[in-house]
Amino acid sequence: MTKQKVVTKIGGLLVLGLVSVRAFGQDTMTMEEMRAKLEEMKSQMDGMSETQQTMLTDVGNLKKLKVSGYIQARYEEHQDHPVDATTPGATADKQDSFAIRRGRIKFTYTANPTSQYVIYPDLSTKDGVTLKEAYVKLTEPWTGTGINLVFGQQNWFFGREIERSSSIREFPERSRVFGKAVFDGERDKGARIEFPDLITPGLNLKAGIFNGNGIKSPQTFDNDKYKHTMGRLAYSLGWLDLGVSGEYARRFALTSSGNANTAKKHIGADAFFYYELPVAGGGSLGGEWLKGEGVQSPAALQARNQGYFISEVQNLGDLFQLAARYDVYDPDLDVDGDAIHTTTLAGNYFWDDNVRLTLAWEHPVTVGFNEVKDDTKTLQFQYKF
Amino acid sequence: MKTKILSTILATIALPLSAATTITIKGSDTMIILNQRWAEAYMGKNPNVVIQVTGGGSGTGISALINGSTDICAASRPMKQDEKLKLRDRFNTTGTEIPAARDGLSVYLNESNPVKELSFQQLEGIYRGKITNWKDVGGEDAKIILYSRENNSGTYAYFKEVVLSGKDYSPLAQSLPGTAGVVNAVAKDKLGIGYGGAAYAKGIKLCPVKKSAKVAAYEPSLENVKSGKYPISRYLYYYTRVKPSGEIKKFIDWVTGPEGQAIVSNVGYFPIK
Repeated sequence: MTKQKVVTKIGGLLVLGLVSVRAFGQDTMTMEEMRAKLEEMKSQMDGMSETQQTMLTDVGNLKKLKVSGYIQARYEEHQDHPVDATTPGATADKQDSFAIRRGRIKFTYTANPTSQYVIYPDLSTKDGVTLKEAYVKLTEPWTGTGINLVFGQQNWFFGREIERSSSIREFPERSRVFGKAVFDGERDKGARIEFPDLITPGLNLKAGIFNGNGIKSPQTFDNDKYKHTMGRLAYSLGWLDLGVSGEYARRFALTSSGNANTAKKHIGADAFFYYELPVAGGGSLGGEWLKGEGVQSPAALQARNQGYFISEVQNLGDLFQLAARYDVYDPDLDVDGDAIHTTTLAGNYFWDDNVRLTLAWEHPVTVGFNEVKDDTKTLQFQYKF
Repeated sequence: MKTKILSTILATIALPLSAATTITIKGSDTMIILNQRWAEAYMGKNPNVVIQVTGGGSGTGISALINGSTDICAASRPMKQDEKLKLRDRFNTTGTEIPAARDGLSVYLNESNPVKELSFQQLEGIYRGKITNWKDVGGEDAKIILYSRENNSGTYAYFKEVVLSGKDYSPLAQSLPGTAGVVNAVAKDKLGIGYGGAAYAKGIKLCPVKKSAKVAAYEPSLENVKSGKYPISRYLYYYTRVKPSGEIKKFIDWVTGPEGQAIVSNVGYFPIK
């Protein structure tokens, strides 16, 4: 390479460098270039805005689906309790076991204010997944009060305890009369209409018609031509809740003497008073009562029965709660001394927003019969979301 | 050595006693600036109290009150019946409601918008999607762009109940996560309309509102809100699970007292008395 060529090359590089430095060091962008750049940025912003709108629509759609659920994991200790109800005669002096009492997940899809889809399976039963609820709820838009029609498998609404979710109840199980005898399973297939705030705020009327088989029955369809009707009128003042309920069902039953028509009919009343103690917090005192004929199962058992419970619940600050319940169930009013008196004591500790620990003791006594020692002690961990 | 051990034990016992009391407030985005100003002023006077303020919307605050994760819920609408029942299921109380301030729920327009006033009927038509052009309400021949709040907002619920008579918003309304976002959007969009607390009104104009075509329209001023002439005024609430006691009571008494209410006026809302 000649000296001249080297000098030329160095000179060229310097010129290029100077041009680059000049271009870099000052705002040499022309108006046209700036417009183009702005247009490019605007396009990018428009694109982002479109993406954001799409995302907002997607998030809006997702928000229409609400998923909730809870698990109740237990340790139970029974006194002289059957090992398994399906194994006749198998008993133990004392049985203790870990169990998953309830493992449920509820899907509620509300696309608009006039309709709702609900499906609610329980995954904890020994029969595998069972369907607790599945219904379509329509809310009329015309009156402004939101009258509801609920069609499908759903809760019965006799009294307060039946409809109240197990996830918020202060005791591990419902009272014997409402939960186990007269309304076993607490749900059925049918339709109901609800009139919230009827005439005055707080006054609610419900009326329904159901198959009458309950959800523990194996039938998919009704096994007879009769239907089960139910009604409830309740009034809430906030600090005092009052309600009256009634049900009537004619049923076809297989008895030892042949086929028969039986009836399940009850009337009931409930009242709960809410109060607040300084320092401790809120509490409630109340009870429910019913009287009538028949139980949910077997349909052939046609006896006059009666039952009630009284409960007291007291919160202690935000984290603790004490509860006591005394319930009586007389399965046959024409037989003396067969009433079962059950005392249940429970303590709840709210670990965090989702977890509740429950320690409970249930003590049933049958007056006049061979007394069976069948107390139950329960330690339960519940996670709810 | 004994003295050392004794001192350590005493210090351990005394530590929680001397620790600051923490009060949590959660809820309404409309009230967030107000809550922050109250908290700052109160903590300045009471160094032993720490007040934590978060937003999220009235619905979020009420949920937090129900599940026990906030001491005070700030709400720009009253609690609904089903929310009270949920609170009762967990705490056996329906909560204590304390009006803390008043707000003239304002209709925001872009500063260049020539519209002079709007009636309830026109607002309902606009937000229901029946009126879609500004010329139908006295403006230019241009499309109306709707800005709204998300459905966990108390402002959303209150506007829907009072102005839309409980009917649904137009699906074309863009939901924004806070009042500040609505103000910002309307300030930048000359065809935009929004609504929210009067205290946020910066860079936009507040549209005078009338309840019907036959009456006069009023701006959300102190006099008009106090006299009831401005038709969309509302209370801003504090909710507690039980009757307030201890430090929470002291704080709420201060909020509803002269010092707290002076801050209400400074922020741009209206005192309760």
